[in-house]
Amino acid sequence: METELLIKKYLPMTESAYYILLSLNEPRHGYGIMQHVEEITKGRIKIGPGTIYGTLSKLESEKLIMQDREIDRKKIFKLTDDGKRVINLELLRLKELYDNGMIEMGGAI
Amino acid sequence: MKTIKTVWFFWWGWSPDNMENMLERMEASGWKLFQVDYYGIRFKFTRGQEEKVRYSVDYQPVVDENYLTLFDEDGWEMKWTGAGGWYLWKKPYISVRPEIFTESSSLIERNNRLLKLLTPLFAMLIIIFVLLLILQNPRLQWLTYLYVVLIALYVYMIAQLQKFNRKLKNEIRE
Repeated sequence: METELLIKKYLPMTESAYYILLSLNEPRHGYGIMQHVEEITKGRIKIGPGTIYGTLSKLESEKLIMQDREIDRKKIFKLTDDGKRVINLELLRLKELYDNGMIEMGGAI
Repeated sequence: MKTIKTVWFFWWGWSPDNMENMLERMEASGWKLFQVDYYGIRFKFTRGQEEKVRYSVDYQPVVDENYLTLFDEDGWEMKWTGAGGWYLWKKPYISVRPEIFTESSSLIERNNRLLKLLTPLFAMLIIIFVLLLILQNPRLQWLTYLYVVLIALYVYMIAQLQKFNRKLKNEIRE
């Protein structure tokens, strides 16, 4: 898919979608994602199982993620090429937000 | 002392919160849910330990086994499923009340799954209603009246689901 189209369709992302995609840079199953997101946000973001299930189904049908394999009745997902591009585009957008924030606020942190 | 309590509780698919709260209050006072029937409006409880639990409702007409595994791994117990894809989940907790949906968009999607079921049924009702009007059979008069009631009910349900979706979308924007 074209970059412009990906941007228009998927950006900006919700925090949950962002962290779910980010977690899938490494193949993981649904509960693994929930644990990973809670861990890297130090407990700030807890994604409920209903939200994870819905988001994963949606991301899979949009072909941003795909099934890697299945273990013990658990689908393991990974990013597709489009998924990787979308997360990188979102990172660029977030970087712009952050950089401009730092410039305008005098770099005080 | 009575050991079994039966509660009839009617709830709408777009706002199961009242029903969830009722179940949580029952558990908090030591009434444990052990049976649900009549399409999810009759609840039977037995005496037990008081417990702080969260009840949560989902509507999923089609799921794969991942759905059940995911909830199970996160500590949710399925207390009831039926009536075409309703799931009642329960999870004990200590301080933070857990949620199965952590984004408003998930609730919008739950409502959309219901709309997807109701809309074709509604179309079918209308078609049958029109046929009844064309036939003008006096012996089917009662059926025509029944269809007026059913159509009114469907209009109400579809309108409510759309209203709740608009409300949820506004919450996202804020």
